[in-house]
Amino acid sequence: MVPEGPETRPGARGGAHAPVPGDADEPLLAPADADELLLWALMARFERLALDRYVALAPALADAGDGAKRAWVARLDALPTDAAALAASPLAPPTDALLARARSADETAVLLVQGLVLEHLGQAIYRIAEGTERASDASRSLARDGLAASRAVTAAAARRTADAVGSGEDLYRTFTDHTHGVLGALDALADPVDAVFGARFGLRFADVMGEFVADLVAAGTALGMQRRKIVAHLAGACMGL
Amino acid sequence: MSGGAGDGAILITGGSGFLGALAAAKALAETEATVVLPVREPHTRESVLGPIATELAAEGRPVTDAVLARAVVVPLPPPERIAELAPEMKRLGVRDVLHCAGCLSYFNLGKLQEGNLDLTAGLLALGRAIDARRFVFLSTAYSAGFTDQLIPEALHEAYGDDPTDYTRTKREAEWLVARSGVPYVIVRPSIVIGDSRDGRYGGKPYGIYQLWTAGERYLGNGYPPVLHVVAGDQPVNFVHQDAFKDGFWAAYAKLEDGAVVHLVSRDDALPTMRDLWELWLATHGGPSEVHFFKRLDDVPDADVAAQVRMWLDFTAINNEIASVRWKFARARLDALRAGGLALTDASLATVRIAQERFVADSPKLQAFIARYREQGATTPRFVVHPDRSLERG
Repeated sequence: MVPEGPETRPGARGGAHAPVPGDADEPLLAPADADELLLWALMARFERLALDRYVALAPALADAGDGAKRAWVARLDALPTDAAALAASPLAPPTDALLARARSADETAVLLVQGLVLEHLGQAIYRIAEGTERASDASRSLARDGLAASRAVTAAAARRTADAVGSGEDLYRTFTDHTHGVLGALDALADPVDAVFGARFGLRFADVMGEFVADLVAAGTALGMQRRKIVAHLAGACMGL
Repeated sequence: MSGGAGDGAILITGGSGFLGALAAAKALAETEATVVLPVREPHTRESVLGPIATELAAEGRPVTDAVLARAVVVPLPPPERIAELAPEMKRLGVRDVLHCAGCLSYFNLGKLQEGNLDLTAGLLALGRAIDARRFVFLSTAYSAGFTDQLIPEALHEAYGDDPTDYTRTKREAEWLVARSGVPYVIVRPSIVIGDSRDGRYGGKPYGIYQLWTAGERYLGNGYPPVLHVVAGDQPVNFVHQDAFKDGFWAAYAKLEDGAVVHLVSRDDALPTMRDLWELWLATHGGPSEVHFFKRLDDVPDADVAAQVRMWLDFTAINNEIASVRWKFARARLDALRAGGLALTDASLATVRIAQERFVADSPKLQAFIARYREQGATTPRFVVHPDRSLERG
């Protein structure tokens, strides 16, 4: 039985976080900066759901890279994140809506929704976070590790997808059917992401989407789907068509 | 009048969508007929009638209980069971079927099969069962596929490569209609854009709205100093939604059985994609340079940021369609015009009205434009790059 709301497990730290010093133009960074912790609280919700789905329905992905995803989720769980702060942020409603559409109920859905779409979305976020000099060293290091763990999963997901779902037009049809909903839920994150992380990290939704789409298209074509068709699906789903 | 247009009830599919709702509003405004709107869940009577009432009000038509009571919303069965509606449709007095529903997915073969082919076949079966007087099928002007020849107002015996599977399934559905034995008219609109008078647009972000919406979402934080744009130099055929509404109705009411009509604007004043870009950037300010390319393959990957590349990718198919000179035969539309149909052709000036409305309806774009102007945004320098496909042969 799937535990209810695995991605909503509260972080280790409770209560309100301290205000971040600095001014609007050049905010000062702190190792345990509240906005950085908000990012990791957000990522933890996605990663916990992913691991839960892998364990339940696609164990090869949970075990990929010597259990890299398990270790990554454990590391996120150990951070002093503040679930209450995330729940009170504008990120919460669109995140809830997106994760509600990502509760994959069978292996095919897990492979395509978590193993392909959301892992590549995570990789885009981790890459941008790793590369921004406006984040603390601790956060950049975390992003590097998250990226490595995710890459281990996507490699395994690609192999398993080819075996279990197929390739070419059959895969495309299954991919579009399973991923339209979750892709359509992404757009609601645009304004909250820009508001919370844009000025702070330079982590903007459009940048994330640009990296994400490029990765996902490359991954999809490697699986035998036509680039033109993947792009058309992403454009339609992401723009509410 | 060859069709009925109000003598008897009218069944209109796609009432929960953009063009079907326009047709339904027109039917309620122009006739005293019962208008039957079959829809699927999750649509409800309220959700279907809302946009129709809005359109009636925008036209200055009364939106009374009596008017709305003439709209009868019924559940739409799966395609293979649509003919089972026949007894109820006969009881309601349905004589004509205006089939405006369809699937606009570009490549989802399953949905296109169901939404464009199976649904049409089911409705044709219903049309036969009720001995329909007229079946109007809403197709697309692009059902001929890519061609540099004049596209006839006739069924396509020959056709070019299809831009998408959508155009192919629309062409195949036209043949289903023509071979059904039900008296028919086929209407092929080009790219529908907002109302020519106030720019209002009730559709999803297709056509030029895809370009604008993608720009709003993915370029709305700031332009790169140099923006790479795929924009052809051929006129793009838009048809305003008011022209669509009036033209569609005139085709239904006045054309002879078996007629195919292109519901398109005259070429004289149509803008090119480059015109549209220059209009946007000259109005709102932009990056220091804009480089125009005719094809996506010509854009240098290394010079383009990921989000710009995504925006180019997302709009690539529409840009590809817009890069071709489509030549639509217009004799039937011209005849309707000669008979009194007044249509506003799309031009740069009328597209500007739609653009202004789009910006006015977007707080995000307005904030971006204001911020950009504060930063001293000016009209960029435009650089046109040659068509490299000619070099590649």
